[in-house]
Amino acid sequence: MLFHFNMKKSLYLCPKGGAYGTDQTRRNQNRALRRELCTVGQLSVFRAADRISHSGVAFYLLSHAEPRLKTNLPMERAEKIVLGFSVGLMGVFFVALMLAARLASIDVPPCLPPEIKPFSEGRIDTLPDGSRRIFYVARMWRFEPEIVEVPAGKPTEIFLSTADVTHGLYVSWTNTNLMAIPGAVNAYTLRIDKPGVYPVICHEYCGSAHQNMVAYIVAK
Amino acid sequence: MSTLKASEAALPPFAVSRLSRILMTIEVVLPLVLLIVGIYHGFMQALYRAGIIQSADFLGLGYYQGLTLHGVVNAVVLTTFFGVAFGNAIMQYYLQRPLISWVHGLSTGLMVVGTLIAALPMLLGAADVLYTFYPPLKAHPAFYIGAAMLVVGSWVAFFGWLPLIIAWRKANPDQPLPLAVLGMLVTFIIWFICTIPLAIEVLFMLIPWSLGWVETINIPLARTLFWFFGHPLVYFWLLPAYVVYYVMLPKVAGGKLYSDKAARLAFLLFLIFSIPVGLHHQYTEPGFDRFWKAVHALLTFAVAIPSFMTAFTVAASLEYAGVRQGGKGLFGWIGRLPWFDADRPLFAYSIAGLLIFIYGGLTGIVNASYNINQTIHNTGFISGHFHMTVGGPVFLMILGMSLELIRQLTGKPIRLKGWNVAVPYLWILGLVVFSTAMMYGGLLGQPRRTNMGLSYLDPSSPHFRADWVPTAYLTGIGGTILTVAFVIYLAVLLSTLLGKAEAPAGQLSFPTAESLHPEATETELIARLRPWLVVAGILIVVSYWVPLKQALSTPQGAPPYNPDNPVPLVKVKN
Repeated sequence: MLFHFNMKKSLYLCPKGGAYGTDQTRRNQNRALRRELCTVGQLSVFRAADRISHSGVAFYLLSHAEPRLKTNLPMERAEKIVLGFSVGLMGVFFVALMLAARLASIDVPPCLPPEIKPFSEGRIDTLPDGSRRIFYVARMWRFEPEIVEVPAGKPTEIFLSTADVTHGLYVSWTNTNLMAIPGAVNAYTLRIDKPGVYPVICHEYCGSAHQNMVAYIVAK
Repeated sequence: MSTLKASEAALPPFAVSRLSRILMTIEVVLPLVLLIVGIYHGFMQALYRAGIIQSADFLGLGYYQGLTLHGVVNAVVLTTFFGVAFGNAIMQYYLQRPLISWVHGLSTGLMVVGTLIAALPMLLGAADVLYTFYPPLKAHPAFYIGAAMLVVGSWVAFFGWLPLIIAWRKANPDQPLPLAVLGMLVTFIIWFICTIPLAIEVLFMLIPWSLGWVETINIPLARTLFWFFGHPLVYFWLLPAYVVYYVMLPKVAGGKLYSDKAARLAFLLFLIFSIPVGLHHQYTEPGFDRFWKAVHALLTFAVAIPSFMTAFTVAASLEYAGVRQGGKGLFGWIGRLPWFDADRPLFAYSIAGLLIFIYGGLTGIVNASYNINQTIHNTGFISGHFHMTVGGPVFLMILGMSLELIRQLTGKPIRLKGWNVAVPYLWILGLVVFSTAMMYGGLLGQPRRTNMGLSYLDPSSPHFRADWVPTAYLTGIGGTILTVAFVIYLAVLLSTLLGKAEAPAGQLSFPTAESLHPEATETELIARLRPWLVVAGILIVVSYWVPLKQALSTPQGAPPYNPDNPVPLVKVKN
């Protein structure tokens, strides 16, 4: 399971094999040490770990992992539980993020095909269904176009290019968070459900007047 | 088979040479002096951001100039000098061998001269590019050249340790490498590997471009190379603190290290997972496939695992120490630890850093989380987070261990002992206020690295954001508490340096914990380095092959710009 610390030995160690014998003495030593610890002081972390390791899933994992991990002397048992727990926790997080990306389309900006070249003039297109497509140009120290009206509840496509240095574009209170990088075009789809005025802020340092670089999106 | 490293605990103090002592004292004291500049600008930025100062500059020093000094001094100069000084001390004490004099002199010389060369343009306002120096904003060439010399100096120090380690291995063929030596070795292997892309960016792109030898450079490539370096850099900051947590803290607390083997495994996991993660700083950038961003997200999650292990191992070691000193029940051990023991300040500096790192580490997982990063990228959330990592455990360990090194190198006892143990707790109190405010503000949309007092926090500006006022103010309060803590530290440092020596100078000796559990290490994979280096190499190549290719395919380069002028410094024909 977790790691084969010693490949040679693990080859002939199997869960029900006789190889247990070679480790029996050390296992007894460990047990004696554990008992000693529990009497010396009430080492609660240790006892809790021991209890967990004898229950349910962890027990199943360990009873299968243990013989392979048991080379001459294993890593401490509680440490193995922590290692397995951390791997599992981060795995669950990662799967959740990927599910959100796939099923709910909450994703990072895509890689656009190379035909889409950087542009140097801002533009607003209105699509047949009334939704907007905004071509933002970021430059020291303003966005073009500066004020854009978009229909609330409909997707707005944003394309972003820079005319000079690196800039950022962050539409307040949304997930639209983009970098404007010289030589490349960035893209994201924004949908604002609540009508209102949404400041669009440059959040990457772009020179001495960076703090004045703001545009606005008005959702109606 | 040696299971308990009793031999390590019994090491005699190591007397360093006179030259080594002087050089190491410079390596420790010089960055602490520069830190006065770094902290001053940190404090000023908290005031600018809170809207208390509504100006582009204060006393002739600009906001972005101060931000550059704050980042470069605190996060690059201080950490690199400390990593080298601490490594020099660890290698000499645990291997019981002197450093090679000329190598030591060369490395310290390069680092000091490089720092001074880079400091000049920053102080003159000719390098307002922040410590990430993203092109096409251009700094004076001296800024890049000085930074490169600082890094090369740290490489020289690292190369100087290798013969010592090899000689020790030959003399002790059946012993595993001392844990502290393994920790510092892993730290500097990571540092060496990750500074190679940085060197490529600086030497082959930025320096020729800033000197005007080439007109344009490839920006996505420069950024990818920078973050190839920029995240492993974080582990270069953090791992020396981990060495102290594993090797020294359990002993200082009166206990043993819960598991020596787990400590070694944690360092080796850092070796393989800490480098192939840089794209998680570039989730919101164009030009990379989502797939490779997700791969880097997964690998970033993997590098959280050794930190979880560390949290457990260190907590279990401390519990053992508390129980051994009579702590009863589930939490009784906590009260038995030497929280405010003025004679063991290393405990206070370590535990305060560990506590704040719980908050800092968990927010780091938020940042690494692929699509969740859309909410917080480049907002105050990021700065709030890393002030609880590099500004938390890393910074506190540098302060605490620097005092300890000064005590050993000069033989002068630490003065104002009571004040000294208060510093780390006051610091993390300030951090909790500062970082919570920064992160809350970030969730409200506050950008990082922005002179907010001039627009968003100025009620007379059309861009005024009333919803940002409470968190911005709280940031100012947090920053003030942090500054007070540092002033107290300065008082401790100064009175220690000005005090009389009471012990022989240059005697290195560190508290070293034994392992609680008998575990073998020397015959196993965990005792070897080469297989882990191979895995690290494979992961780097696999994770960076396509992203680098995609960055290289950028159709056009960018000319250099001065930060205060929208007109490029070179006219480029399209």
